[in-house]
Amino acid sequence: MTGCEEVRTRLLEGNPGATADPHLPGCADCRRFAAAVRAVDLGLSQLASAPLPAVPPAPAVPARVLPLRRSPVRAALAVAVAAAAAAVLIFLRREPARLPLLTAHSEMTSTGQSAALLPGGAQVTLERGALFVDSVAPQRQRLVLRSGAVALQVPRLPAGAHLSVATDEAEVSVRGTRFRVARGAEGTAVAVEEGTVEVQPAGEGRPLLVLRAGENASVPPLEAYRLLAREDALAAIARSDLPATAAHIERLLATRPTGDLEGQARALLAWQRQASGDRAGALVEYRRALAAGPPGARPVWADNAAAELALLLEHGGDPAAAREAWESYLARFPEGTHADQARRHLRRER
Amino acid sequence: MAYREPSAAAASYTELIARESELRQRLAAGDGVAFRTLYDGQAPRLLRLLMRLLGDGGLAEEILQDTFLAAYESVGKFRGEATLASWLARIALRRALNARRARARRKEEALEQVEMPDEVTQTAQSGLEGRDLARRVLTLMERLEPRKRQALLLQAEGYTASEIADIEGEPRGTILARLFRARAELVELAAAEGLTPEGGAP
Repeated sequence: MTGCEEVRTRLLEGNPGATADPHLPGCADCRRFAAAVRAVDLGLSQLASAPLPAVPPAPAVPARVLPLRRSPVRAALAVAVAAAAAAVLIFLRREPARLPLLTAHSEMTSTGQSAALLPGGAQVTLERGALFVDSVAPQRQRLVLRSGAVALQVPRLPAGAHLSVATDEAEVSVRGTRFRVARGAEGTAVAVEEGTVEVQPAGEGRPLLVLRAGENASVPPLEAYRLLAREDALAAIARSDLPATAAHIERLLATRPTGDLEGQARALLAWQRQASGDRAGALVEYRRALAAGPPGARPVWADNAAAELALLLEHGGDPAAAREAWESYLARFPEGTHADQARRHLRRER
Repeated sequence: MAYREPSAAAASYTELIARESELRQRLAAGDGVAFRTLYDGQAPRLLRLLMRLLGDGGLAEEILQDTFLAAYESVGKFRGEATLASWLARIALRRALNARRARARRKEEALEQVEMPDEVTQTAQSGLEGRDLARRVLTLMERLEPRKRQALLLQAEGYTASEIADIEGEPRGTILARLFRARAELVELAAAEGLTPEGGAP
């Protein structure tokens, strides 16, 4: 006979399944536990949906209103997204028909629009493309959008229940809402009409996004996200915004890039550290940058980073380390941009 | 994102990040409109959290206002390592903890042994009229270890595990484990009380 402890663990995990079903009729304690699980989850969801209190007026603060700059590109994007959201809204407001029930490990494909239901009542409308039904368990329902676009209309889920749509770029988790996920050349787009969804972009170190009603997000593939972070860092450097530079590079490094991109990122971070007066930090990052690049490769950033490292040591009063750094530079970049400077330094040292 | 502007849908992932960044910069520049936008968006949820944690509406409002003033003063030092909502909650909860400690000291009791008088419980449960299960669950939560109770209340306010991790300054995995354990302990307490979805004994 299945032990009470195992049954209770499964009840807490929201996956009682075949383990609990034969056990519960003969065990009053576990039945009481199962009722408590449902009661707590329902109580927690009632807490979440309770009305918000009236707040006192905002405290007075010294106001110094600055003009808000709006870029024309952002304005155009906002208009485009609003139009797309309106189209989704019109589509989602259509009356649902009697629909077939999806089963686990089944495929939905469509050249036009087709709709089905998940156990529990969520309506799945595949606008086009292919969808794989990974799981339909009551507490964990998971769909994998291989291509195209899918719109979901999900009734409020009990606490602990989980419904998600996965793509190569993101895992979109639902709390009870109406939303749409679409795959395209630029990644996965998510639009929320009602409720809240969590979007966990694929790849380590990428922050979770929480989207609420009226919000949209486009999740680029990991490589594009990394390149965007690098571009943001370069733009911050151009503005001499050192904190923002560090934040963007650290965002990039959190995704654990390797090879050339890691080297570039660390070289930028080293520059940021150096510009911030953190000499020790700069030395560490320059060395890590040069170690990260593919063996034998001679990219321009590495040429510059090797020279910056040598100069930092030279100006820091460490002649032995500076000599070694210039020698390493010449060994790797004998025809490099800074080769003449390296040779001049080494001749002076002799 | 925690900062909501219903009329301004975000165009892209970077746009979402940029919006928070823009609001942060406007706050740092002393923009009073940005401050009211932040207050209107965040204050109600934060106030409810404080009321549930402290059970004292007056003190909760005091801490709420103090939190926003402190945030306004120090937003220039905030580098956007968390969302503005998480950052505000972190400031508010630190102040709430200090208030709870002060209350415990005044009563010459340990923090964990503070018992809530009836009016305190009523304040914590305001807004829950007609939600009997929520009120009973909230009462049971008072028997949880404070950090577990706080994590559950933050989750009930819609903060994600990542945001709670930012607020508590702990790894996301630690928070997920704490939330699971907190719910498990709450279920044990509920089972001992015979709580059912209908609100009574089975």
